[in-house]
Amino acid sequence: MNQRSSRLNARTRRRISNLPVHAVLMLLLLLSLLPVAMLFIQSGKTAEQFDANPWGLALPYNFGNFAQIAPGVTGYLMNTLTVCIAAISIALTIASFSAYVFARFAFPGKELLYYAVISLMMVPFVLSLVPQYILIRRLGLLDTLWALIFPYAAGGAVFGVFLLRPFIASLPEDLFEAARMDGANELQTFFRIALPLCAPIIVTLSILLLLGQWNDVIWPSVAVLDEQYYTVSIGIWSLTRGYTQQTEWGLVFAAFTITSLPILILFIVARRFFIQGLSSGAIKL
Amino acid sequence: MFRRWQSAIVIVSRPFCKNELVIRAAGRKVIAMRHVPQSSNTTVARVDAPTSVRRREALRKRVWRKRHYYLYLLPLFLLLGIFSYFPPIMAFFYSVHEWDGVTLRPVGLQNFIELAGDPVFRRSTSNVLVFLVASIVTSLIPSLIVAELLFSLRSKGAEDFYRTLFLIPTLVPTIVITLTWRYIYHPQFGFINEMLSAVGLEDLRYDWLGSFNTVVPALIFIGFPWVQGTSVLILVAALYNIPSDIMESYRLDARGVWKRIWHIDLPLISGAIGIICVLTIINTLQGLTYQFAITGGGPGRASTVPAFYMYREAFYNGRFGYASAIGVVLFVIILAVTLLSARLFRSRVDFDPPTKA
Repeated sequence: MNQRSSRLNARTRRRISNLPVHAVLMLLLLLSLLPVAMLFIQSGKTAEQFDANPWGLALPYNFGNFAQIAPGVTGYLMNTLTVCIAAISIALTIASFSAYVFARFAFPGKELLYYAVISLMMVPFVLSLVPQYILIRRLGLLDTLWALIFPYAAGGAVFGVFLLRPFIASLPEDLFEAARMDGANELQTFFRIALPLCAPIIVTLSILLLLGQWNDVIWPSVAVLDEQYYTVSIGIWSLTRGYTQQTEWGLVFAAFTITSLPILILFIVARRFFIQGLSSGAIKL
Repeated sequence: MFRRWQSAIVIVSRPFCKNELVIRAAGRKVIAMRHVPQSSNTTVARVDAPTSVRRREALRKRVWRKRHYYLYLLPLFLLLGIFSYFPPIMAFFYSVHEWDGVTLRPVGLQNFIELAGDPVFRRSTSNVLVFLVASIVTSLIPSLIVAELLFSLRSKGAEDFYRTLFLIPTLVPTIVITLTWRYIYHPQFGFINEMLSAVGLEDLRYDWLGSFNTVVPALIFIGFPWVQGTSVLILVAALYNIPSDIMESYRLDARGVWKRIWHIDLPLISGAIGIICVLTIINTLQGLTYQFAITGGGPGRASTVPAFYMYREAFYNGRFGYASAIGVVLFVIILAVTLLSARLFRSRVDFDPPTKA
């Protein structure tokens, strides 16, 4: 009994000594989250509420802003969604199979080809921006969603091979051996063994690619000039140029919130994969 | 000798062809002699077979026998060939041409010579150096502080709670955060100016983004307090990777926390710090989002950076050749920085022997 209470005391003491740490962390956290909180606060304000109180929380919360701006933003969201789904599917299909070939078979020049792929990660985006624009224009893809899909898919495939090859290489050979004994060929071992075991890392990879593509604003700003094909980033950027009056800020912020929500909701659903993916972003060197 | 073994171990876990059995048997003896741990894969020895059957086989024949593997990789190289290899190669080609999008005229190194004397380019370079120094500090110090604080809590639950919440700003689209900050800086109704009025400092209201002397600091201030959820993840993981016996011995030594951080933590997580630094440097050197979305490089040229200057020259002024030359210069700088720091951090991490001999 005595022992137990002293242990409890120790724990309580540690909790108390942790209090200043918590205070500092909380302060930093609140400051970090402030702009995000602003999004939600500002989204629900009418013109009068903005006039009276430009930055504080105003009640009642006016959901009308969302309804009013939603039709304009839905098109952008659909474009982004189409681009992301198409680009990520192409990237994952090609990357997972190529990584499997690189990881589990021996053939002349394999390492050379592999490094040829990996070295593309060293090519910065500023070097290819201009020629890539010219290429897309020559191919007649300017002002189509393909102008976004192909370059994103290519970039995703490189990163995918980089991330997946070591993973597939680390799978125990016994599994593949057993499948081969059962008469499975190279394609079948890929679909039945490598791919299912890769599922978690493929989810992680998809999330990383999704974040990158969702955030990109520079490439869409030159590749799609027709508003019909605007992605969310470029769409809301042009929106802020349309609604310049302060009375219209509520609408702009409502658009900001709508375009931020999908990723935030996905984060709540798949937090584990996000954390895994974002920590593995470190090895992208 | 040891080095040779290591390279052998790297290649190990890959499956291979029919001469596997023979070589493996030969290799086993050698392994026993060289004290390579028994737990390591027995296929290690494949590499050690010097007169391998495979060597004798002609290369061309081998390629032909394995031709289907190249076929498997064809889709990848088709996609990359067009969209990943071709553009950067063309960047070098365009950089020695004058090109307005219609007529292409070779001009040799003219673009680079012009660039060297270009006052806008010089201004943008000095700006990006300021941004570079600032971004290294802002991307590292606050995240490092948060990581150390989280580590000191020694509570999985609290750590998870903070880690998750610090990630949220990272997940809001960059453009949304960027534009929100434009509203925060708004000269008339912006949050900062409203706050100044609210506390009676009316005189300090200012057009932060529209003035020559404040635009660069204002852009650096964006994202305050600059805690990067991603960097926190990486740093906390690195701190937990420090062998606990080292940590414990230092704790019992009763030396101060600061000393521990300085002598143990920082050197042992220098790999993670290096990665964050390099990524920050690369991103800053080619960053142009703020200029694109907020300032347009202005007022005047006060906030312009090389990447944005390139963007302008190409897409506003149609000088694709000149813009490509800027891209090439940036590429060379980024490549140099990457290689240099990779070398720097490799040598610093080396104190940790990769295998127990």
